[in-house]
Amino acid sequence: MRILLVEDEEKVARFVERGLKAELYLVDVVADGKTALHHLEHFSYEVVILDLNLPDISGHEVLRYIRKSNRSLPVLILTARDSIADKVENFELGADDYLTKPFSFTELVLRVKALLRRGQSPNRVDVLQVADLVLDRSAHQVRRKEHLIELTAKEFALLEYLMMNAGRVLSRTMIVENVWDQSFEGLTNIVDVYVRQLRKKIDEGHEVKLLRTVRGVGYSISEEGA
Amino acid sequence: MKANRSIRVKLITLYVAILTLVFVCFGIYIYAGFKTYLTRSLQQTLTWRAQQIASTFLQEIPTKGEAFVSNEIQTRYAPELNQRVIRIADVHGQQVYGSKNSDVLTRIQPELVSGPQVESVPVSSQVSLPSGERLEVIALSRRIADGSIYTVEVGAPETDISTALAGLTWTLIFGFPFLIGLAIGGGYILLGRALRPVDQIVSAAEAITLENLRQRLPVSKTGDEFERLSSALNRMIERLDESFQLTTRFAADASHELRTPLTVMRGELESLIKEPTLNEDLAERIGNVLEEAVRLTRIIEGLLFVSRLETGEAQMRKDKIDLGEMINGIADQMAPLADDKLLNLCRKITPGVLVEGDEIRLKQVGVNLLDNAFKYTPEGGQISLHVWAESNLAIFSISDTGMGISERALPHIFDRFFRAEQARTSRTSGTGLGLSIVQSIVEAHGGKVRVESQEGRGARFRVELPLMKLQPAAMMEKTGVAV
Repeated sequence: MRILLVEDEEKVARFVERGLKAELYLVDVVADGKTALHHLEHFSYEVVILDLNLPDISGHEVLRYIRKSNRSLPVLILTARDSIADKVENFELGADDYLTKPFSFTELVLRVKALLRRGQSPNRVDVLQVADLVLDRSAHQVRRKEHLIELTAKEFALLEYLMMNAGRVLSRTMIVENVWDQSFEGLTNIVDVYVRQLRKKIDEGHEVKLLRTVRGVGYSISEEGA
Repeated sequence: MKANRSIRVKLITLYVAILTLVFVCFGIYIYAGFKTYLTRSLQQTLTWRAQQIASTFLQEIPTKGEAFVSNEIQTRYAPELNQRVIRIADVHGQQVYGSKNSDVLTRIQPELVSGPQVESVPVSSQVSLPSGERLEVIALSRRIADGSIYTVEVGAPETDISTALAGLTWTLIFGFPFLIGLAIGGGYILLGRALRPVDQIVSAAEAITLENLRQRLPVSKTGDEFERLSSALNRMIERLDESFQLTTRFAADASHELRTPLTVMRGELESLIKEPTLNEDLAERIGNVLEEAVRLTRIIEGLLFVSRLETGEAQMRKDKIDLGEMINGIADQMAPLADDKLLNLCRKITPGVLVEGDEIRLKQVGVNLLDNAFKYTPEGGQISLHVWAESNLAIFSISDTGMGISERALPHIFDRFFRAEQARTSRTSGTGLGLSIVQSIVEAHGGKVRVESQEGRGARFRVELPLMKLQPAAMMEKTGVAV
C-alpha cells in the first residue's frame, strides 16, 4: 500500500510519515506541487494525502491534475482553512475526504483506511469481537462470556465504534463526532459519562478490563485490557 | 426625521427673529425719516408764507396803516379757513395783526444782525393750542424801508403729519404678520426641499450594518454640502470596512498561523504517548499537555467560528426544525449527564413549534446551554426546559437552580472569554467561548438570547427565534389536526 504525502511543512510531514510507516504503509513524502506531479506521473499510489498550501503550484492544481489523469485515485485533503465555502470547493474539485489542521493522527489513519477500503467490496462484518466480548450488529446484541448485556442505543453505538477500531485509541472529539454529531462538538464530558456507564456494564465483575482510558488521548478497547 | 425637522424649525425661528429685528429697525427708520420730512416740508411752507407776508405787507404798514394791512391779510390768506395762525408784531411786541388763536404763539423775535441785512433767519418752534393740538410755528423778523422792524409769525397744526404717520404705522403693523407668515411658509417649503437629501442619507446609512459594509451611500452630483457630506461618510465607511476586514483577516490569519504548530504538537504528542516504553507518570504528563493542545484547537476554532458568524461569512442552512423535538432529542442524549450529577431534568415542551435554521448550529445552542446548566448546578438541583410559541416567536428557555450569576457579571456573560468569578474558581475546562457561540448563532438566525439571574438562586436563559411562517395550506392542515 503506497501513499503519497504532499506536505510542505516539514515537521507535519515527518510525524505523519512516521505514523503511517508504523501502520506499515509505504510513504513517499514530497514538499512541493511540482515534485508531487512528477511522482504521480511516474509511480502509482493507492492514496494521496494532499496539503492545499504548497509553495509553488497550489494543492488545488495538483488535485485537478489527479482528477484529469486518474479518476479513481482517492485523495485526502489537509488544510488549515475550514470555512464551508472551502469545503464545498474541495469536494467539487474531487477530493474524497477532508481534514482540518490540527487533526488527530488516529483520525487520519482511520480516514486513510476508509479510503483504501472504498474500492473493495463492502466486507461489513456482522459480528465484532474483542476477547470474550461479542457485538452482533444484525441482532443488535452484546454478550460477554455468553451473558447478554443490555445497552441503550447510544451505548451500543459507542461500543460499536470502539470495537470497529479495536486496539486503537480514539479521542473524545472523534467519538463525539462519530457517535453523536457535530453539534455536540466540544462536549467531551458526555463521552466520559457514557464510557463510565458502558464500562460498568461490560467490565464490572470481569477480571480483564477491556475498555481502557488513555490519559489525554481518549478511549480504546483492546484484548490486552487496562 | 426628528433631527431634520428640528433643523428646519431652528433655522426658520432664527431667520424669522432676524427678519423681525430688521423689520422693526426699518419701521423705526422709515417712521423717523418720514416724520422729519413732513415736519421739514411744513416748516418750508410756513417759511415761504412768512416771507411772502413780510415782503408783501410790511412795507405798507407805514403808508396804508395797520388796519388796511390786517384786512388785506385776512382776505388774502383767510387764516381760519386754512387752519393757519398768523401774527405780526413790531419790535416792542406790539401786535399789528393777529388771527384767531394767535395769542398762543411764542412771541419769539429773531434778532436781525446789524448792518445791511433786511431779513432774519426763520426760527421754528412748537406751541400747543388750548384744544391740545400742536402747532408748528415759524417766526421771521424784517426791517422795512423806514427802518422799523416787524416780526411775522406763521403757525400751522401738525394734524396732517400725525395723520400721515398714523397711516404709515398701521401699514407697517398690518404688513408685518403677513410678511412673517410668508417667510415661515416659504422657508419651510424651501428648507424641506433642501434637507431632503439628509433623509436619503439617513435611511441609506441606517441600512448599512456589519454584514454589508460594502454598501455605500448615494452621492448626488450636485456639488453642494450634501454631496460632500455623503462622500465624506462614504470615505469613513470605507475606512471602517478596511479596518474591519483587517480584524477579520487577522482572526483568520492568526488562527491559520496557529494551526500548523498545533498540528505538529498534537501529532508528536500523540505518537509519543503511544511509545510502549513510556512510564505511567510521563504518559500522564504528556497526556495533560495533549489535552491542553486539543483545548487550544477548540478555542481557535471557536474564535474563528464566532468571527465568521459575526461577519456573516458563515453560511446558514435553512432547515425546517421542530424546536421542541430538537430540544427533546438533546435532552434525551444528555440525560446521562444529569443522572450523573443527580439533577432533576424536567421538561415542558409544546410540540409543533417550528423554526427555520441550521439544525446543527441550533442544536449546538441547546447543547451549550444545557451543558452550562449541568456544569453550574450542584448535585440534586433542578433544571427545567420549556419550549413554547408566543405571538411570532419560538421560545426555548432553560432554568437551573445553580449558583446563578452576579449582577456585575450579568451584562458580560456573552462576551468572548468572559468568566464570572464563580465559574473561574470551579473546575471547568471549557473554551470561554460557549455563550459567545450561543449568542452568535442565535443572532445569525435573527433571534435573541436573554439571561436573568440572581446570585445563588439559579439562572434562566431564554432563546427567542422567529417563528417559522407556515404556508396557508400547511396551516390548514395543522388546524385540521388540532381539531
